[in-house]
Amino acid sequence: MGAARVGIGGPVGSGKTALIEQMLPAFKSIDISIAVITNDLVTAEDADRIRRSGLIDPERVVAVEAGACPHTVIREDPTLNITAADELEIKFPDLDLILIESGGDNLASTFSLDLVDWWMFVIDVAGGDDIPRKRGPGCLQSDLLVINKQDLAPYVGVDLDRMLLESKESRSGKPVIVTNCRAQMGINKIVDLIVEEVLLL
Amino acid sequence: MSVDRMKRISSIFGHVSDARISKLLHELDHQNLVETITLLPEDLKRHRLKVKTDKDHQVAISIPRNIALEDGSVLCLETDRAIIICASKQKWLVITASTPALAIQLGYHAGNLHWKVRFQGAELHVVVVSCYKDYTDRLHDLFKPGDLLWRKMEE
Ligand SMILES: Nc1nc2c(ncn2[C@@H]2O[C@H](COP(=O)(O)OP(=O)(O)O)[C@@H](O)[C@H]2O)c(=O)[nH]1
Ligand SMILES: [Mg+2]
Repeated sequence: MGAARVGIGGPVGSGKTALIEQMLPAFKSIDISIAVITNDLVTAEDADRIRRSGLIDPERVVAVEAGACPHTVIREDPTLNITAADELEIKFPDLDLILIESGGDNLASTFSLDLVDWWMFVIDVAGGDDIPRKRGPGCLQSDLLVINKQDLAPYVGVDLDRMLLESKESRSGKPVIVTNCRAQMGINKIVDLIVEEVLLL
Repeated sequence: MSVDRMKRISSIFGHVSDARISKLLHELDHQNLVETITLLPEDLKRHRLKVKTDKDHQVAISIPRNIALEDGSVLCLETDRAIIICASKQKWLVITASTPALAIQLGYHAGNLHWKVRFQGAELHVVVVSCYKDYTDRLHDLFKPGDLLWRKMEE
């Protein structure tokens, strides 16, 4: 059936790569064989960072250079990413899961279900607590909304409880998880959800 | 994780329109042994999902990427049980503009918002994912009262 494919979208700097770095050891500890595809404009910055992290075999990290709008390669024409995922599956037949990080986008970005089985959208408290109220498609349509950088809430004057409540209200029952990638907070909840809903274990 | 109780589907057995299948389904239905999974139109594109039937039984679907779920897909057909897919109706917002100039603006904004659309004569039909309000709120922001007419449609 091939590996499950999970998309990770959200604005630049919200913590998508940090979240991947947190999830890698968690998946490793439950023997999930994993690979990562990153999307950058014209560099392999994120891929290099993950390769250097020592958390994963560098061969299992692939950079797709979008060249143009980062949302195009995850939505309108995900061919580059689909090809990269297909190639990873051939190279590593034991793969259970491929994480695909989008190049960073605005609140309107969504993933094509031709590319991924399930996708999360990562925002952070420092982006402002009005983000859920803006009802961007990323926040509304994603299978999971992650509100990252919980630790920064007091410094940026954000009422996190209210942000969480408003996010939940706008998502008709779909999950919202608060994380702090600096302190491994919330990471296991995300891993558990992926195991249940996507890996179907 | 209720692994043992969960029905696992890794291929699509067939379609309700197949005469042989439909006959068997009919017989099972008489014994109340046909279960339905209702999916939103946008979820038909998925290849891995955990869902519940109308009898509240969990089903884990994991099918190859080159096949697709459809309204009427039969996931399993056994002597004492069948499971079929039923797609809920697609919601559309049907919009008309009061002048050609406004129609051009409407087209521009719909593209800019990445709405999925189709054209039907003078009408723009917009696919509504989740709720109508997300779409009409945008139209209220971008247009003046009277510029556009819109109505909801399901099919
Ligand atoms: N304080 C804090 N900083 C974080 C957290 N997660 C990520 N960061 C930092 O935010 C910056 C952007 O993170 P990155 O993962 O590169 O974001 P991406 O562009 O979405 O991939 C980096 O400097 C991270 O160290 C968090 O939970 N708390
Ligand atoms: Mg990144």
